Amino acid sequence: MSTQRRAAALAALFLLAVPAAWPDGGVVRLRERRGALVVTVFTAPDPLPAGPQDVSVLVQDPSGAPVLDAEVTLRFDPPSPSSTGFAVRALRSQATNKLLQAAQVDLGEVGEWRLGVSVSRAGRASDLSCLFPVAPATHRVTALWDVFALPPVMVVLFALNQALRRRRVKGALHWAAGGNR
Amino acid sequence: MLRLQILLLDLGLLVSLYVGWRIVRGAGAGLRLTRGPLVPWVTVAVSLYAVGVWTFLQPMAMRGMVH
Repeated sequence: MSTQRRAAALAALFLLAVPAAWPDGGVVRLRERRGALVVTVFTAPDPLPAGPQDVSVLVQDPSGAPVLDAEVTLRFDPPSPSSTGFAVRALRSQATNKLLQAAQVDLGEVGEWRLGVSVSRAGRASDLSCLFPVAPATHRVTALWDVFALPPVMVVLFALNQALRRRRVKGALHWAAGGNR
Repeated sequence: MLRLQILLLDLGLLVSLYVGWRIVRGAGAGLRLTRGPLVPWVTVAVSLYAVGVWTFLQPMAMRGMVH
């Protein structure tokens, strides 16, 4: 296989992997129509690790146009009944995508949380809710040690390979020079 | 998911380093002299890799924001 074909095959492999990489990382946690509003809630994919998380909400009208003047409040109820829940206001200023309203929350407890979403607009309020699992937090950098170790290991192996090749070439030259005497 | 994202960054970094090495080598530098000219290339590639990893470790809504 020529170098160009190998490069093309490698590029194709990269392109195939792009959708699987899922760079924005969000999943639709809840999508429901309530009256004249369609509410969609996004979070990071399952399992959500315990700790800081962001939750984004998109409010649309039935035609799909984003509704930007709705007030969105998120209520989080922890798994254990003895713990008390909390409510936060989702704000556009906290979202990168200004069509969304987002809130940063700290989900410290492991288990099945209940998320309540309250959307109010022009004096009319709609409430939705869903359950979502929170898993124990693992230190992400530590858990990914193998993928972080890959580049240095490959560089060291490549350098070793080059050093051995250099030594072999030197040896062959030395042998040829000795043989010609 | 994060594992695959970092793995793709790894592959990008390795390909970038290899391409830099090939260019420097092809430009006439001897095998022993490839390190010096490679330094700026390696610095840029590793910096971009670090920024990429940092970005992927941010919560979803914080991506693309530098504050």
